[in-house]
Amino acid sequence: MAKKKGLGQIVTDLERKINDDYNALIQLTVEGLATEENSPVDTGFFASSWKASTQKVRAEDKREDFAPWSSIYKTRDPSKNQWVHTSKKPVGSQIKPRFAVPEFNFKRQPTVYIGNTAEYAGYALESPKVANFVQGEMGPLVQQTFGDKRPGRIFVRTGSSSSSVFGSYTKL
Amino acid sequence: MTLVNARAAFEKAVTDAVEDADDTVLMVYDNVRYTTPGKTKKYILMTVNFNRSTIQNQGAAQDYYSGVIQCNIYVPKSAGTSVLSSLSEAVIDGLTSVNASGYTDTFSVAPRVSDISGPTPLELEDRSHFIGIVSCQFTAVV
Repeated sequence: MAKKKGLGQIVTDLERKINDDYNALIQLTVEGLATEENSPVDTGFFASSWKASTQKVRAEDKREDFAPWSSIYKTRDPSKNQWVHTSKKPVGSQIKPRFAVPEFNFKRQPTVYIGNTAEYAGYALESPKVANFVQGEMGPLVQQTFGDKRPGRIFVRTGSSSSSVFGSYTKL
Repeated sequence: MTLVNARAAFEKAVTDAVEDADDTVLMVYDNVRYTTPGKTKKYILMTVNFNRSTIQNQGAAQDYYSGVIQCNIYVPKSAGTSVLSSLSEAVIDGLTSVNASGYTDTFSVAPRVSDISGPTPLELEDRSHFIGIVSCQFTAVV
């Protein structure tokens, strides 16, 4: 026999649903930004550096300080037996999200900032990819996430190959 | 040809407004080959991205284009940020001109733009230009 719930549970249930949707939206947004489709990619460091936080995200991380992106433009010089900088990428770009998305509470943390920590984020924003995602896809994503039908999280591969984990996958 | 017309409607609206404000500004479009203008040139890079092409009502699908327009405005640092502001204003005027009641729909695509973001300045020290970003969503229906 189904367990009956009193009307007093409505507020709790509603708050739980809003909180779940709130966190799902943040998670989907960060995941969506960390793809080749929605972030310009050269080494993959920018696409990997999206972060959700209750404080404004500062763009101050240098690619050279973080593996594996630090070595993307380095090659071994056998004559000097050391690593040297090269203008041609010996290793392909890699998108590996650097920050786990924490759990937020919409009542205690009503404002969440999603930003990029890569020092050169300003340059990357010249590309229309980020604006295209934020303005073109965020609206439907918000409607779906906060609606009764939650967006699916099944990814279907549509391209033949990609260096990114999420790249060339379509979210259903 | 409606896809072409949708793009043309927005490009013409912005180009006309920019030419009225300053006819020395170069317009660069994302769908044509170009060489990056020199360090002393003012230019605007306009990108039109389509996210959706049809809407499925009962019966046949209807052409319904939507997407995002981004205009990157480049002004030599020697010209100062006031020029960047005035060009940004011209771009915004051009985009919003399609929403005006007196707009002549030459391309027959009923173009509309939503809220406009920007101008967002990008502070890039090693660049010869000040950069401002203006972007918005658009729709066009046939």
